[in-house]
Amino acid sequence: MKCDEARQRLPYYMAGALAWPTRQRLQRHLDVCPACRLEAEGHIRVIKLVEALPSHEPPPGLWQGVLNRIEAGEELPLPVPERRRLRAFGVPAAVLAAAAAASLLLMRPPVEPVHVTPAGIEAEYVQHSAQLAASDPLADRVALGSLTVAASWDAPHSPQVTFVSMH
Amino acid sequence: MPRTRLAIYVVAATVVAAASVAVLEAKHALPLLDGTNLVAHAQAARQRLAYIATAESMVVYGSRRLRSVAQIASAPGGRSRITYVAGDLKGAVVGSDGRRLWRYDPRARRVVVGAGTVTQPDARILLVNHDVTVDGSDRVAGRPVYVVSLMTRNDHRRLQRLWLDAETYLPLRFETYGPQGHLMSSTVYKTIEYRAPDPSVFRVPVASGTPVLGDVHEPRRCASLTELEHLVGTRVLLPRYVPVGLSAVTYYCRTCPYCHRKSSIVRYSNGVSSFVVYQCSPSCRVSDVLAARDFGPGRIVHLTTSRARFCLVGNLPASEMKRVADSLPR
Repeated sequence: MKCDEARQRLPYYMAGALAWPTRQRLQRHLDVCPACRLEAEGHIRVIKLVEALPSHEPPPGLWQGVLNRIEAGEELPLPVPERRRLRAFGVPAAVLAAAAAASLLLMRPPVEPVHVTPAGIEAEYVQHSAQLAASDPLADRVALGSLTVAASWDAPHSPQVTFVSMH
Repeated sequence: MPRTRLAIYVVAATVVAAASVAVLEAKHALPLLDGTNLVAHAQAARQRLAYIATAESMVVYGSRRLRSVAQIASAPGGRSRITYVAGDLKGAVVGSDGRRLWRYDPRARRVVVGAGTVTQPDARILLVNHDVTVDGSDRVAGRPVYVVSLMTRNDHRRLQRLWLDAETYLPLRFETYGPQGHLMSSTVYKTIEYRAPDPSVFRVPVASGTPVLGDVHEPRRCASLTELEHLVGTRVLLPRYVPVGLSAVTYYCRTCPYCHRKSSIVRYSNGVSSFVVYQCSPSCRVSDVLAARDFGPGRIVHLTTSRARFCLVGNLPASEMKRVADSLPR
């Protein structure tokens, strides 16, 4: 298994949602790849952080009250005491959400430092300018395509891409 | 007397044979067309025709010469797909679905989709700024072709040589020359079939398991300089000197790959020669130590002033690139 595939499958691995053969393959990859192992450890830290958060029970009678209102088909404004009770419940919920958001931030894989070399910088500009030059009226698109691809292999920023979709 | 008659017969036969050869040659020779018309037809043919072809290509990149064999599929509406089947780029694919450019990278096994940079080229800018000469006729991919050269107006330097299909005017062979007159890239079609490719080949390939990614550094096209300045949030500084015939043709905004700030790209072109000005914040000092140098088909010049960091990339002569760089606002 390659690093790209391993990193895509890590969340499912952590959630125990991978089929056994894939799980085994990923486990073997983690045994030999320190970078992916580091990422897996990051996932584990986040899970532990979330698990360590205190759980909060809703106030007694809240759910029954909601049910009663649904059955009665009421659309009345909530009485003030219930609003307060909800607010009291909402504060820990907000804290929980903030913690989850912080966890997600922590879960982001560490940004790998881009090793910028003069050749790499030039490659990056060559790649773009070749791509733009292909729009000229009688441009040699096959040659410019070659230049775009070859330069993209030398460019230092190639890993910095945004996820669009995967099928 | 019989000897005289014999001589007359010989002379008459010779004349008839010579006339026949002349008629046959005239029948197979291509009608002489104006070079400007040919180039205009060639540009229209590229946009209008659907075809499937194979080609051999070479391009100079740094100290290397990249050679490849490619399969080409093209259709109206700016749709194209170039699959590199052999050579240095084997496995790579570059495509356009008419809206977005995409490329499949066989090394990373992923597809990178651009942010809508497909533009419809216009041959007028090319014809206004260049002389076109018809060099003769030839055969490419088994088809008769016209050979034309695009020359600079001022110093009559050859920039590009094209072999245009005599029936369809589609370019079947390209040679592009650098400022010093050296061959910088060439592509020769080996086979061509004028038929519509399967439309699915132009779509962004989303094969099972292949990640499809948008590169955050892909430029996004802007309709005007005003829109670009609005997106970048700063003034775009333009060179005070631009060589005759070149004009700003496209504006792009993108995230700088080094400082991650919004940066601007302005492209100048005359249809064949071009240069691109990349402008970023002056605090993006990634290229401080870089010197101007040739990378093959073009030249890169770096410049950092108190107002911006610039990188110029173009295929103009070195002296012109320097002059443009020197004219950027300090």
